[in-house]
Amino acid sequence: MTAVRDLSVGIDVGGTNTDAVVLDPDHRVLAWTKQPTTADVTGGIRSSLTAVLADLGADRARVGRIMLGTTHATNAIVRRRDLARVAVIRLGAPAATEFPPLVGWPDDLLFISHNLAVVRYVSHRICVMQHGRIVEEGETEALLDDPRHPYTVALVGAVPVLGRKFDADTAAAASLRTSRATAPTTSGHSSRGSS
Amino acid sequence: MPQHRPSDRWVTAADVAPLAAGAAIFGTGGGGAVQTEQLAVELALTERGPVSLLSVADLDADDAVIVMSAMGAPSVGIEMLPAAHQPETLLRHAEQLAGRPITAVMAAEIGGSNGVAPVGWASRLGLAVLDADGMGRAFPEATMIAMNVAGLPCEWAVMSDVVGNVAVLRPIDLGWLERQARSLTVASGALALGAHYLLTAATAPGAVIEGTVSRAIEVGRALLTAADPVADLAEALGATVLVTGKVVDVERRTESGFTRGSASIEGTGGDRGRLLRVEIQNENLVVLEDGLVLATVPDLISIVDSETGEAISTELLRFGHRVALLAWACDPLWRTPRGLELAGPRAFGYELDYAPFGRAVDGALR
Repeated sequence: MTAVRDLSVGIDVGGTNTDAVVLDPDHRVLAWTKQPTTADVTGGIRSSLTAVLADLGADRARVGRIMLGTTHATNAIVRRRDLARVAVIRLGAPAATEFPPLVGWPDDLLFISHNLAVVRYVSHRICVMQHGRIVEEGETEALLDDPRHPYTVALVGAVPVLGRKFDADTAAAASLRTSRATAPTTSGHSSRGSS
Repeated sequence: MPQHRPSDRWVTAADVAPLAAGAAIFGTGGGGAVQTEQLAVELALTERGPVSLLSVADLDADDAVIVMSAMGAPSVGIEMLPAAHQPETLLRHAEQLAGRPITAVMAAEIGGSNGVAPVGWASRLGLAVLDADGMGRAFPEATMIAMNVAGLPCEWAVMSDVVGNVAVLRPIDLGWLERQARSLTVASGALALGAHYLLTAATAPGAVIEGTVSRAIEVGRALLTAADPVADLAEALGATVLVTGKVVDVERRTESGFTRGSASIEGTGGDRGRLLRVEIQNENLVVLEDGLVLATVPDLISIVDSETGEAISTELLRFGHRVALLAWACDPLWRTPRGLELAGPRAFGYELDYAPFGRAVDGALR
């Protein structure tokens, strides 16, 4: 049996209430609800969706798409509140090199670094990428103190330490392997936003 | 590179935001959105200091000016941004072709991102900027340039794309340059940078539209400091507000490297009940109401946000936008027979006779 999936659910998460509406192809409202917005946002979305699906009964199988609209992300950025750390990777080269990464972003929202000491200070978890693939991932301290993947070993080994003889072979190996990566990952080079 | 060319006028980092705002207005919907180039130019001028701004009268025997611009579909230009090497690549080849050092850059068109970017390119190349451009607005085709109206031949052009390809063209005329450069641009992903038209103290006078960089900064500054943006902008431009209303329909497609389509604006407030249509080919070209032509290219037609007065480029125009539609007279050069042959309504495929904008409004139409 092939069900006709012609109904749309629209959910709007507001500051106070989360509204959900079900429309048919002629834009007629089949069901609607208003539920309190919860602190975790998802709870309000879940209860509003549950409510309209219950109203639909057997017709719930006809729902083909759900659209979520919310200004929560924008508000969080504008108010600088409830923000989580997010990594941004730009795939632009060879185009776009006229524009440094994250140019135009507000300085207080930015952290860019290729300096491992600084990365150790600010981050909780680290993901090491080589040639666009994740080669190792883990808690910051564990990963930097006991790197497992050869590339991570080479990267960590390339950090110059006062009083320790610089291992040119390890450093060369690290930079050689980085040469095909889209972003420079060798240590010691840091751009704006880092110390 | 240091600034070698002495000048008593400069474009500073603080001028870039007004320049971008003004260039967007003169873009008449096209020329590419200015926001991204504004970032690159502000960065260049903050790091390297102001760029000298030369008048055509300042040019001396040692000066050689190269015209630089991006070519392509504005819709693509929003996502695919230029590479850092392109301006240097163009300059190196332009100097080889010219057989002499280049001292200044001129914008091919003051409208849109092509009116903003050359200031950043000049900064990074250590060159001056000429206070002039080839259009006094934005146009979609290489033929529609003041030097072509003046009959100045274009001996060569260099093109550079983001991946590093360089093409040197020796076109027999601007029509062929448009065809060949457009094909190369499409092949390169619908975005390329080009340098052409070597100008000197002998050839530039009368063959370029003068004062347009400082004019764009002045109009942009008037807009950014305005108490009543649309009215103040119209006054700074000498423009007429044709309608204030809401965009109720946008039809737009990317075709042969161009953005083509139309937008309908339904009047609100005092303009309630009116419906105007704007025909678009990269730029806003014709305004129609009840079968009457209110304004046509080469006169300037700009759609701005009715609250802020900021220009809305065609690729960002969408249903529901609250807008004001402005029109004002083009540079007299475009009203000559040769100017209209190259950039009048018929050059864009419209079976319309050109009616100079000021006259049309005074006469039967309003």
